[in-house]
Amino acid sequence: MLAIALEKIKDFAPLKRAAYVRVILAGFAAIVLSKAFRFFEHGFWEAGQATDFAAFHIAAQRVWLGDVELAYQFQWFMKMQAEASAGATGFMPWTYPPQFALLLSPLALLPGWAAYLLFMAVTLGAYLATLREIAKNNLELVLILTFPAIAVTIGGGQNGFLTGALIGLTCINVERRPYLSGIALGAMIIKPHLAIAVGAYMLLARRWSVIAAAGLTIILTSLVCTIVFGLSIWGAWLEGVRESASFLDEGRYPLFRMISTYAMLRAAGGSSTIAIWGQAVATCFALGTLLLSVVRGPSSRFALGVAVLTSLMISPYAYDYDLPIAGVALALLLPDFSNLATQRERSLTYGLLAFAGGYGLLRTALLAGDPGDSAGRSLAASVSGPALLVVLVLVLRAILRQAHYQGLEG
Amino acid sequence: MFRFKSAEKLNAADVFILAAIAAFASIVILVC
Repeated sequence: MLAIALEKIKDFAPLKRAAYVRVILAGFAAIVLSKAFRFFEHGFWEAGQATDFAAFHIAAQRVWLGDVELAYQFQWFMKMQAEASAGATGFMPWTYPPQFALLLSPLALLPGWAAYLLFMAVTLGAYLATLREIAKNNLELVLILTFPAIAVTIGGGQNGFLTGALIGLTCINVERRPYLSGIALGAMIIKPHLAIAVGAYMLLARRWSVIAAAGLTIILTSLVCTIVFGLSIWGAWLEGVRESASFLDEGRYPLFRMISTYAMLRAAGGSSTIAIWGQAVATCFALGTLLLSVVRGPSSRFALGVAVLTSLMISPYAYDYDLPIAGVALALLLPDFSNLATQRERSLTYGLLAFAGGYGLLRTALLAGDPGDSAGRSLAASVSGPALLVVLVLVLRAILRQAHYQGLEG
Repeated sequence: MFRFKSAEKLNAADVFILAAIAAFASIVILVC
């Protein structure tokens, strides 16, 4: 069984466990270096397809040029892409809050390939250090299961490690350094829709220091952005988000790479209204499970793990490159989940988490032979979202089992 | 590089897991 094979690794001799970690790290390094070399040789655009990191680099450059608010208008951002790539463009709207553009701005001082290398080295390093701190003995298991999501994130030069590290830091420090935890949670303003469930956990667990520090971080960074970019940046950002929502409504994003219930239903042919209602039901289920884990779960660590896992299920707009956060969730859940879930449930959970991370890429590989078929790309089945929902059902079963044991003891 | 005692040698599960990791890394390099 998958669970037995993977869980046995932590009992291996240190040398063999180190070999596992080194092979995995070598895999990450190989992908990072090969991508950096390709960017050095050909730039970010190859065969008409742009790497996601290109959008980050363009936005960083626009900060220095003083017109970053134009990046929020899709037509302008397309022109910026065309300028940066000698004519080629991709479907890459810019919808991040201004804090993220400000954070990226130093990268504009480097050529694209070097900026990619630096961004990956810093964020991946921070993410892995955070994961090691949380996972401890289960590090190899977590790394193996998160490998597809990590590899996909490196491949696109995406920001999943940054959000994963920030969520991880929030969790590590919640007990002993709540203000630091709150600063990390507040820094999640760069991708606020992935922090809603963790914020809800802080409210349910009455972590007022964390909430205060997070709120202060958001206010202060917003003030800095207002001073740097001017007040109009906020209107431009909100307009960009509205425009992006209309693109989502039109099904213009690659749904098969998205991990939400919304994407699953849209890709299955459902209307936008049905998909929104489906997403609302999934969000209620996720938040209900979170509430139950806080009230009846085996430990606060486990409840925090549920919060991190469900943070991926709240918004319709979430991708496979956001799944490094699931590694943090697994690391938090594992000690209790190993005791509460059956071997079959654990095997299914492990398999589904790895599958959710790798499905989008494998599907991309299958569609690569026909790059012009954009309709086929958007309509390909989106199954990572349901995989995560099944994982949440298995986590819910573990919580109910714990509640049952508590009832017997009481 | 790595010297394993007989009890620590790679078994079939180890080889499968490490091969899967290498295969996926190769796909990412080729496709992304």
